Amino acid sequence: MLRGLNRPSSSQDYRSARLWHNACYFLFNTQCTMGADMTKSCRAATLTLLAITTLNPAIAQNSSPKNGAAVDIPQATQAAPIRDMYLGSKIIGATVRDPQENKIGEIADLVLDSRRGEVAYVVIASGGVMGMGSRYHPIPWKALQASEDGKYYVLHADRETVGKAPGFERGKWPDMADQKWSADVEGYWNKMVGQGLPGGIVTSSGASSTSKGKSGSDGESK
Amino acid sequence: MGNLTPSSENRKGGARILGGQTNFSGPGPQVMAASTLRGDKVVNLHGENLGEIHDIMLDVPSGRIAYAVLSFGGVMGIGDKLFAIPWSALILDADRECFVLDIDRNELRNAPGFDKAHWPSMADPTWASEIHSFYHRQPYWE
Repeated sequence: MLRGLNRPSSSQDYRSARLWHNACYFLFNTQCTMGADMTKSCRAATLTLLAITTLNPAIAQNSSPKNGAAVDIPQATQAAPIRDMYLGSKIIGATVRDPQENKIGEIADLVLDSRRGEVAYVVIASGGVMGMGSRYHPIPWKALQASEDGKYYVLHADRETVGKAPGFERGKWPDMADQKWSADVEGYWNKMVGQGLPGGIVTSSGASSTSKGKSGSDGESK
Repeated sequence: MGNLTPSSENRKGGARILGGQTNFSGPGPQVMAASTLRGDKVVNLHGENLGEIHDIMLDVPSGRIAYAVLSFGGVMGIGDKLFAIPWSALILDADRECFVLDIDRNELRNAPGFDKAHWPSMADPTWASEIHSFYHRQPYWE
């Protein structure tokens, strides 16, 4: 078919050129239609494949035996619980207060554990004047609670406790991946805030009336 | 994605890590300060630019990193579109200091996105389920 569509040489007359043009036009349009059909069928095939991988996680490209991530594709009807979501950039800079609402410091940064997909520490800047001379203290996320309006965070410890906590000078970040160092931080805060820490930051609407005003390990309940 | 072997054990909801020094028992290259993430490049498996990290969205009660907010398209930050990407869909390339997302540029253009003035309600369960479905990720809350 294509062989018959060789471009006419300059010696051929206008009519054959016109014929060639029409033939090309026809072929082009046909290909377009075919192309669209093929795209459609490809898409259908992809969807089928997707459906198969959905039904059978073992076939799914993303699945690996040890890897817990990305195996099951959720069904659209599956309901997620309502969550309190905050932008990282909004949390940074928020005030941290003790249970009596005295200011302890500000959240200077968040240390993320990318592999776990979690916040490992909240870094609190405390002490100093106007940000000068303040020390940075990493605190496990679970030791903090968001206030009811989400505008500040409550740490069940006073300023002094924070001052004695493992910390570092601004700009002199330690190796957060160092296990001994992270064990020191975890150990200190477990001791200071208590073993009965809530599983995460609990918005005060859930626990405020019982936990407010208390410090130490006795005030926490899950 | 099949040829990418995550170099470390993964938990549901975590971003996979490529390169860097891997420490199986403790934190490794995956520990990072949130403030340094902004502006980090995101590329696809073909190395094509997909934009940059604009912010992260945290699930406060659990402390989970729910989404990375990706900024894509536009010029000098104007006219760009934002996309919430499940954190687990990102691969951290520690050697190249960027994130890898397995998606074509065209596919991303058609992905559910939003502009800076119209953020979706990320706490909305329906929205969250749809986003995770789109990127074929298991929801982080499960």
